[in-house]
Amino acid sequence: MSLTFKSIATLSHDLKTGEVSSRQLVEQAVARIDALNPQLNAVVCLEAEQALVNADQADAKRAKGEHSPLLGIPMLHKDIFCTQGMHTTCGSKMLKDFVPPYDATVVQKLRAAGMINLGKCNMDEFAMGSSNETSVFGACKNPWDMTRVPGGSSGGSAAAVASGMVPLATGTDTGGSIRQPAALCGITGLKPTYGRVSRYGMIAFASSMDQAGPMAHSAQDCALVLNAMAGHDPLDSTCDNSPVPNYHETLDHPIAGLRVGVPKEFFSSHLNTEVATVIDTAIRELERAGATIKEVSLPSTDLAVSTYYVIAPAEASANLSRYDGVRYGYRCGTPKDLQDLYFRSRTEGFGAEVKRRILVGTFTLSAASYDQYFMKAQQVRRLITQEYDNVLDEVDVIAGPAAPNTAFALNDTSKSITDMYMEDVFTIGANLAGLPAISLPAGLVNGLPVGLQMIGRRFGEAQLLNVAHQFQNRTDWHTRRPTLEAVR
Amino acid sequence: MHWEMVMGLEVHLQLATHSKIFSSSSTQFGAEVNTHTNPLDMALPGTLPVLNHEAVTQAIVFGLGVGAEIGKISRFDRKNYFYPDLPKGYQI
Repeated sequence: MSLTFKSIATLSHDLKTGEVSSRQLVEQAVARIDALNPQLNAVVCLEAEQALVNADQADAKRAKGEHSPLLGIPMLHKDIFCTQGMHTTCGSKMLKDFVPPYDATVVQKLRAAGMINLGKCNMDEFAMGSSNETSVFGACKNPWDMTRVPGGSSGGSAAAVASGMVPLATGTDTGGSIRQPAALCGITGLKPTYGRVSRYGMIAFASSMDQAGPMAHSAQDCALVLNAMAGHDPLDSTCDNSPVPNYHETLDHPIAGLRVGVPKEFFSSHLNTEVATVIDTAIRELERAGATIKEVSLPSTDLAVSTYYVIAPAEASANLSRYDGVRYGYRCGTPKDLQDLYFRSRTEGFGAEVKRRILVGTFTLSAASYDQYFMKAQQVRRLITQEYDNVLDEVDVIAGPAAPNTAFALNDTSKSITDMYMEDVFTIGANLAGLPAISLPAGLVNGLPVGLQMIGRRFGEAQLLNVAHQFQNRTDWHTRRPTLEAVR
Repeated sequence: MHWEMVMGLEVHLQLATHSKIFSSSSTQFGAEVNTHTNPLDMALPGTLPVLNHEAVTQAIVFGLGVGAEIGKISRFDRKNYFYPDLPKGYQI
């Protein structure tokens, strides 16, 4: 029996009834990774033997009557999460040989919930990119079309789920890095509220926006996993200590009377017209389910990308200072002196996009530029946050596209750096404002997936997942699969 | 020309806490080298500082004891530079 593409909810049921074992699930996942990965390049580290040991332990627990919903389900982590004894590279030459002596809180929590981690997923270097092409391991491919990108930075995670390697992969989202690849690969990805999930052990990019979340086939699966991921962590002072609701329990609530705001600025010239049609149809589906659709305005939408590209590089420039070749990570050969050690270790260890952002961030934080750039950007960030909060006083969720286009071609040299940055024009607002947001499959354009994005109120994950689940009850876009003909 | 001399004193005082100000490592004197450390102290990727509650309490008690004004908000600025004794590449 093929277990590929089955949801966590189904697999969990099959494990409970004894129809399958965790060992079978892990064996099948490993076989699929072995078969597909040479071409997809979604997985950068696979630890099959340890996973099988853990699967046998999960099966033993099931045999003793333990039936927590995630027990024995195989998964992969984005290679940004520290895993004790397992390589954690962040997609960078700088950390290519780094093996952490400790686990990220997310890693520890999902293990405690019984999930079996098989290894690590490809990603843009230090999560800086929207195409997965900045990875030191090379580009990951989109399972729907091997000549196209899976999106980024959590591109490997999205491709691994979309190609049926595993039913769940973790991702992180600083400016759209869960939602944009989820959209481009036709899966469901949730970026929780800033502070809902611990950042401890998740390698920092821009600390005021970084947030971890689940990437899976459905909102229901994301809910099951968020139940285990979310919650206070004494090791992360920005992690909220409000109680975590059971996100699974509210999935079936009717959405009649739900107020959905559609920002007119999201349907601007940036948006591909065919993608716009798919999103419009999806919003009509919410209306048929009983929601009220209202046009709203987020006037500063066009400022979000520039604001982000001042703040995020500034935070990154400080966060990435620790990679200096002194204690761990990449060190250049035969340094002449200390300056040479710093200079060449960082020059050789970081890729072009990471260096660009370190330089921009260092510049905007310098005394001469601080007021002109960093302070201004912080002010605009507050303005954007207020606009979102005001709209969310009038409506329950904001709906629109997750990305302006479907998956674009690999090595597209016609795409400038700023074109690439515009990939995140619709996702960045939720990061600047710290709001939860989800992307779910809403249709296909020329055989490529389109993602519907919904943004909710702070700590409103339950409502977002509820609406997404109701949408998925009425549509089958989340059950569409790539043929993977080019791989087989 | 008349010059007026203005001087300030930067006084460092170690508070008698059991652990460090941003990490749970012990502050006890005289232990084996490299034992009072943890992933945060070593600036390993992914680690985050957690402010020691007791250090804040003692600092406020000290401030009140010497008749100082207690600020309602404290903030840290980062000073970024590379130096071998600076594992995170910045000080606050």
